[in-house]
Amino acid sequence: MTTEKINKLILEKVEKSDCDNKTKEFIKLALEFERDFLNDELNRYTERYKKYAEYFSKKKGDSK
Amino acid sequence: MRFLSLELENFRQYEGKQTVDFSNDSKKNFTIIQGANGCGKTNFMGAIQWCLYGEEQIEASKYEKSMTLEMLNESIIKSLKTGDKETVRVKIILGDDKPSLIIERYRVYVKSKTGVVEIYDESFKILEHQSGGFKEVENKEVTIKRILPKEVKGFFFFDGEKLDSFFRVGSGSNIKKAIFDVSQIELIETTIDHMEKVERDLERKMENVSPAIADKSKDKQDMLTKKLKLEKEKEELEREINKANKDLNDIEDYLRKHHISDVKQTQDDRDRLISEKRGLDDRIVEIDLEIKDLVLKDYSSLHITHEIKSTIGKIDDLDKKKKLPPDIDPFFLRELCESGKCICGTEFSKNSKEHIKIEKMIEKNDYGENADLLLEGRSVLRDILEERKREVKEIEKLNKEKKRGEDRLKIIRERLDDIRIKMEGTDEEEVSRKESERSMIINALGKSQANQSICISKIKDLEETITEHTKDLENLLEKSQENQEVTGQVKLLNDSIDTLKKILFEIVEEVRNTIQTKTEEYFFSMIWNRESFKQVRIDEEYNLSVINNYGHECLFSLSAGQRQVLALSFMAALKEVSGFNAPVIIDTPLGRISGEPRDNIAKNLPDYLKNTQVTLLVTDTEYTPSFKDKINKRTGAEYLIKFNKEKGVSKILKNG
Repeated sequence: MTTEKINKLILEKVEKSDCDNKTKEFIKLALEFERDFLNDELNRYTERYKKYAEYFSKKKGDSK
Repeated sequence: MRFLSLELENFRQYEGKQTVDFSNDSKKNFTIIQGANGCGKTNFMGAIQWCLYGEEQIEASKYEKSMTLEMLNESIIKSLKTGDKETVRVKIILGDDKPSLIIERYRVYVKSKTGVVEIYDESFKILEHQSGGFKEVENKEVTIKRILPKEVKGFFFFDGEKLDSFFRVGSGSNIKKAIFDVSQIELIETTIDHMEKVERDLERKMENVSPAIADKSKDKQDMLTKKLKLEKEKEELEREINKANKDLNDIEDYLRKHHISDVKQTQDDRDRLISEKRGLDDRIVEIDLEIKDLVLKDYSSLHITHEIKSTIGKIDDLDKKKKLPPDIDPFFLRELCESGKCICGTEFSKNSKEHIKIEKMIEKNDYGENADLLLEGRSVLRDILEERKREVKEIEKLNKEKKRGEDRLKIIRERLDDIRIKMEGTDEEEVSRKESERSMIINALGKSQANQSICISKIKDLEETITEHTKDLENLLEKSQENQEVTGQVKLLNDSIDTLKKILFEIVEEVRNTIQTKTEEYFFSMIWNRESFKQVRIDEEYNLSVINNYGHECLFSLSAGQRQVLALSFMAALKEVSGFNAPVIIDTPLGRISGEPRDNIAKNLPDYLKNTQVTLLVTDTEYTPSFKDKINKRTGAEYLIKFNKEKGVSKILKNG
């Protein structure tokens, strides 16, 4: 599958998944980040993810 | 986007500048480049790959000699004086009708004072047509990815002789890799991997707070380390199995093509026996499953057969005594009593002799309204017994078939042993040596396969335990106030990982199914005896199988020509699913096939990949007059690689 097609498909599937909205948002952000830094060094994503996780876990829960 | 032209300059055998203008006619989509073995066909494909990706991707074992040399033409290397520089250059022009991209890679060599030829300079540039002419592209990697990403190039540029390896025994991993590559799911895999690492990091952070969490977390870490070790072990075993299969195939190929007809014939016999053995092995597994299904279906009734028979007997007895069904329906008798009026119109009171008589008739009927139910029940019980009888007969039939199969397998094993002894004891030293080697490989292969199964089972068990531990850990963390914040983060990561794993599985499954359908479509459109086949399947373990009209698996009994068609079909399916419309280049498309099967493939090859630009690098023995005749109407350009043996250099000449 072309990169555009697979990216679109993944996002569609994330939207359709049964996880809550903040998890969906977190996944989308993580995927976007990976697309930009697919081959980047470990420390860059580690720190970034921790910040994402910290931010989203504090976010108030919402409906699915 | 199509290849419009290719320029090679001093690349390996090619001395000076050589140009190929590819056919750009959609009706004549084939470009034929013909050349004898060793004249530079594979290096032609290597040049294209070097230009696009900076690496040639030629199998080192086949071209060991040339791979040790620099890519600068050897004749030029010899003529260089100290300080002299020479350039290797490959330029590809792409576009639809007019040139829109120019991709060029060059490498300058210099002869040093020590007499060694070294790389002096290298460059790679892409020019793209924009308003105002060609301009250099800044992000070259993105442009190449747009044309054809490196991960899927193997489905566009490939060697026909190597295709068969896709379908060897235990080659499910090759097919799995191809499907994963074509799915482009690296993004999800990397995201999951990174999330898991961050999750472990966070868990470690919490270990300081509670000893129970620390213990649980440590256990989990240990298990993850163990799993990683097992996965590496499994990969290593997979490599060993693939190598063993390849070596085995090379030996059998050697024996199949041996000049002594007896050796060749014996190997052919062995091929037939192995194919039959595989079919029988599969059938016996199927029979066992069918028997298991039949037994499980009526498992409960199996143990109460005696009771069923006895119940039927009792009901029969009542029936004989005319108690079932009763002479007069008790319901009707009860209605008479309640109404106090006979059917003839005579009225009677509650204590009258008529009333008492009817009451007695009701009492006499022991089974009351249940009589009908008993009769219905008897019919159901009889059906159960009938069904059981039928199933017992079916099981007996299956057991007989299994016994016949096992007897035949015993004979096959003995004959295979005889063949091995005969080959090992032959006077032909090389044949005997190869046969001994074959036996050793088979033993090692068996051990590796067994170890691989153990590994897979251990990984599966560990995965289950890890999941349990993760849940326990989550519970512990939830209870701990201090960790609430981090717990939330871990939970978020866990949920995200679960969701992504589900998505990954779904995508791969969808791609697997599409490739299965497309492979079947291509196979049925190219194969000459279409009526003999029913289905092409890729199962959950990524094993490809072909089902014949009798419903049996026949991959291993396909002829070499049929297997080549299957392989070409699989490649076309992968190419299509990849979604890239890049040109296809096939080195030796007909593989090692000769005679009638070659003609059969040649007949259908022009219809292969109708809307794609295809370049075939063919040997002179492949490009027979009949093949030429069949592909002629679809050929838009034809070239000949002329090799000068004395100088060791090749030139590309336009043919016709």
